[in-house]
Amino acid sequence: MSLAWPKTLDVHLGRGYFLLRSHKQAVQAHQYPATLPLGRSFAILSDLLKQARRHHSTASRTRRLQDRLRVTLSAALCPPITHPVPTGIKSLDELQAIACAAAARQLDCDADTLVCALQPFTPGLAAALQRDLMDGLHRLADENGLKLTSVQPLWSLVTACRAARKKRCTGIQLREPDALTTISQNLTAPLFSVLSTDVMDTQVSHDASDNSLPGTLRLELTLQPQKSVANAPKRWPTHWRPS
Amino acid sequence: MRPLRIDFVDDQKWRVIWFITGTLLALMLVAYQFWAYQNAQRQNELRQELESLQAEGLAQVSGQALDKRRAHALAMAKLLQTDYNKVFQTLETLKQPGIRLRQLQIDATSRKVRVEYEFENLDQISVISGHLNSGYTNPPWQFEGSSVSSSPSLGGNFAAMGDQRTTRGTWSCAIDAL
Repeated sequence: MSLAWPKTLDVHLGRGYFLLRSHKQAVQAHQYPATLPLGRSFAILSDLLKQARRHHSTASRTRRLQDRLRVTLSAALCPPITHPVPTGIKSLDELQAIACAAAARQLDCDADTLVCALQPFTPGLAAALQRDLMDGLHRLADENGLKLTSVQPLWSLVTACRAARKKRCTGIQLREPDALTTISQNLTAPLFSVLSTDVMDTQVSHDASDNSLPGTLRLELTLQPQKSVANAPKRWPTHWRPS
Repeated sequence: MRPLRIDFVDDQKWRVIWFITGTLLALMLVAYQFWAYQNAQRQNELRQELESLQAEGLAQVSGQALDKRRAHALAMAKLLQTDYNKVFQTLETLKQPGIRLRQLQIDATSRKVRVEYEFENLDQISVISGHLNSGYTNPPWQFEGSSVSSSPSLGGNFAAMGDQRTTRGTWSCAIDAL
């Protein structure tokens, strides 16, 4: 029995599609009907994960450490939520509760059905996720013997890429197959302004080529491989193009 | 713009890193405290040893001084109590013709007596030695040597009587041997 270093599998989950990349293999893009229930889409994803892991696991090797699963979510599944930051509020739990309340109001659902996450040092913008989706991801990892190490919205990865961290960049615009997200940074409070729409519902009423936001980094995530873009996010490096 | 690193799953990696870092720091702190304690102990021991050595040294010095003073006092007392009568008695009783006491030296420091006799012939050396050592089982007086010198005749005029060659002999003894 030999000890093998745990491999990392990346999954990007969107409404009606997902991207899958296992260790040192090409990215696989899959599309399915957007109206499919969550359980069915997870079943498809689980089969693909099993196939991907079968490629680089042999019977003679036994892994002691679990492989890791990293998940990114599109803005359609994990939208950005702006929330107020009352003065005097310093506890992270209180901020999360405020963010959940703001998300419930924005998404028109109960706060109990949502999970919110925010960065403590930049309050005012949070990410909201359906609790069922979060539980489904945990189940998916458990069923496949994987360790769920990261669940991030893709737009947060874009804000952290090298191109977005340049001084002249004041915001990002991320186009995904199922959503369009625009986040601008303000010099005064609130720190962030968000315009995030579900393209499939309102692509007629919003002009995605709005040039009134100078200094905005515009990127598009594609299902087809592209030429690499300089300073793009390191996750899914072959699936970015300037939009 | 400011990066937004939002994750729904707590990053356990940093907990492990902080735990390991904290453990290492705690171990280093304990090791440093132990080293400091050992160092302080060693310093204390050295200081105590130095103090004891200094105390011993002072005692030795003062002891030596006391001994020296005592010895000097004893030597002075012994010197003052020295009985020279035996020396004088021996010298005063030697009355032989042709033998004359020329010099008497008493060295109180080395406690030695040296006498110089003048005599006419070498046979008188044994007479003098016999008289000086008479009554002693171990003869204390030692004949050191003799010398011949020209000196004016005894009780005469230099020019009229002429020079006579005389012999002088030296005897010495330790006062404590008398």
